[in-house]
Amino acid sequence: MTLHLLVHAFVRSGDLPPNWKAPSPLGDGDLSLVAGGGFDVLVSSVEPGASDSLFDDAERTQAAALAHHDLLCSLMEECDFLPVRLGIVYSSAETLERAVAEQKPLLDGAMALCSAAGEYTVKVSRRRAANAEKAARPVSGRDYLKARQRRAHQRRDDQVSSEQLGAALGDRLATLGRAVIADSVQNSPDAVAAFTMLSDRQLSTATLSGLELIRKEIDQQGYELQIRGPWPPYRFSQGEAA
Amino acid sequence: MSQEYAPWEDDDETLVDVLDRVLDVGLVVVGDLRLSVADIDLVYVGVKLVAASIDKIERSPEIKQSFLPQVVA
Repeated sequence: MTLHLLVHAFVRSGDLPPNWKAPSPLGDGDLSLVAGGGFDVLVSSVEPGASDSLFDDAERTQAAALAHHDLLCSLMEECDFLPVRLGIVYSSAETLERAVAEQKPLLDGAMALCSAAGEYTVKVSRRRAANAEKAARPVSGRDYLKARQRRAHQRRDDQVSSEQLGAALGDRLATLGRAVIADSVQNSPDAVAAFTMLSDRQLSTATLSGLELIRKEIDQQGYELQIRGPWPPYRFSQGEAA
Repeated sequence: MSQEYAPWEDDDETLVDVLDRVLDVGLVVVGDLRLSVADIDLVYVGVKLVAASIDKIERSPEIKQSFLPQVVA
């Protein structure tokens, strides 16, 4: 029976230490390397169909995702790499090698971009304020309608200032990092703007100072800045156009 | 690095942040590949159970589309 290969990451050939070994995040033996196109591809061997069962319930999906992430975080201490979206399986080493060969220009470009880099998530949120108005009950219909109108105007003003703030922040981050991608804030009710910035894995003093200045300015405008990282370069693993 | 910059060290990573990144982004090499789940909805359903915030998959045709072309039966 030919085992299938679940892919975790692309590393440049020879970048991993010679005796480097790591257990498969799927908990079944060690990781294997498939060589091709100037890359070593880190894979877990899985029985055909077994990978499907990894995702057949929430608990397994979560465990597999966290183990994959842990592997990539530990890999950040070893070498440059391109993280692969969890859940990609090749039917054989040959098909994987063929795919690598076909995508070599993209991989080379992304690898160059992500060299010695990590990504940082940057999110701006509205500061949670005690909402005295909400707590106060209107004494009449007229008061209620006035308060409602005031809130509508406030929301409109907030929307405009949030968009301006987001655009300005994106421009500022672009001067600090290698590349910046705007993220959706659809799932974060308090967030008004979010970005992923690719930067040196170890942020330089200049970048840290720049981020701290941005944080202070945003704080003065009544917002909070949250920065997390470095993450493996997930968002930039297909180049800047990802 | 000064300690005052601790907020962007990775201690604060949340489960949802990790799942969003591991499952939504990352390299997808186009070729003779398939997602590990023949029915990609299975992944989505699993994720939704873990972290409700990833319901964006359902609301965003763009995200769904980013997966669909990669699925090779």
